[in-house]
Amino acid sequence: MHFVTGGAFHGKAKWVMDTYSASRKMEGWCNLYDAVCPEAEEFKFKTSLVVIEGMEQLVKKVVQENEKGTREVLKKNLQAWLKWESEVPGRQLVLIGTDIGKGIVPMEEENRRWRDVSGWFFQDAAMAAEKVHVVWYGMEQTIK
Amino acid sequence: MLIFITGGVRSGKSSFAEMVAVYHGNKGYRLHYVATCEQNGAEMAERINRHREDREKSGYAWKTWEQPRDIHDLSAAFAHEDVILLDCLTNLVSNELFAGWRENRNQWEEAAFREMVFQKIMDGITELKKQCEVLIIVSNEVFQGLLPDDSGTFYFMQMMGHLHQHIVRQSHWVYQVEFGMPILRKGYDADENQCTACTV
Repeated sequence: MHFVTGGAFHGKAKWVMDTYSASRKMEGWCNLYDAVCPEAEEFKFKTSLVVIEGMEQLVKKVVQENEKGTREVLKKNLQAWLKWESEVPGRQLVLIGTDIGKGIVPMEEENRRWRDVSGWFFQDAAMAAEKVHVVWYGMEQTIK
Repeated sequence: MLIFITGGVRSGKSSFAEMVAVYHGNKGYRLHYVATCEQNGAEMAERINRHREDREKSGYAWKTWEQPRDIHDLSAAFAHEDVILLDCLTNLVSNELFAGWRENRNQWEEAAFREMVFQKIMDGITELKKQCEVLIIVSNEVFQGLLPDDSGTFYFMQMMGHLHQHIVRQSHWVYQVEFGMPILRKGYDADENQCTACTV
């Protein structure tokens, strides 16, 4: 699994498209800004490449739907995705998440939780990833 | 040559940019300072004065141009051996994108208008770059937290991000200034001559 992060509007998705010769229109590209992520049990893509873009949007949804145990719900998703990748040799999973953790503390409680849980989920993703890149205005920095 | 310098507020990016300009100006080129902020209020006036005094104290002959928008209008004023410091992109984008906000013309809501502004700024940069020896662009990091709820700020961030990506791609040198210390993000760290040889 390859985890790609960085600030908003930094060209993260474009970098993934260039690196993997992929497109947003391809089957297996999940754009969480426009759609919801398939549930863990429904995560059954036939393609060899799956890209999940907008991980922080999944975090937002999970935070809105759950008072407690958000990190565990997200971990369950992560495990399902990783299981999909490991089931067939040659499969590649790419996760793209916007880093929302470098601003001032948000006023609203829900936004604070969103920001906190995003940070933890991104740590879990980075821990599970084989490769981690931070994209800064289109240029990548390898951090793992 | 195009040099892009970014950093947070009060990170020392302008001072560093001036140093870079003087370094290139030392070769006998003329130094131009293009200020993009609109003078409204005492706080801004004080900052402008401080930066202006710094440039005078530097002992180099800076020519200052106040150009809050339409930077392409300036291109005729420059010659090939000039060094131009544009400070900063953030103000330029804000002035272009939110032009007419006092009259409640919320043009930035329209995708076509935003596309036009983007193209106008990139064309202006290309035009200036063609006219001079070294163009240095200073900009601000504005992408640190949650995405804003109001559309004006959202579109502003979106445009800054797209412009930064395009400018970084075209730049020979990219620096991020953190607490007065420049971090080289792109360029040749040793032999600058390699860089003057490459053209964009």
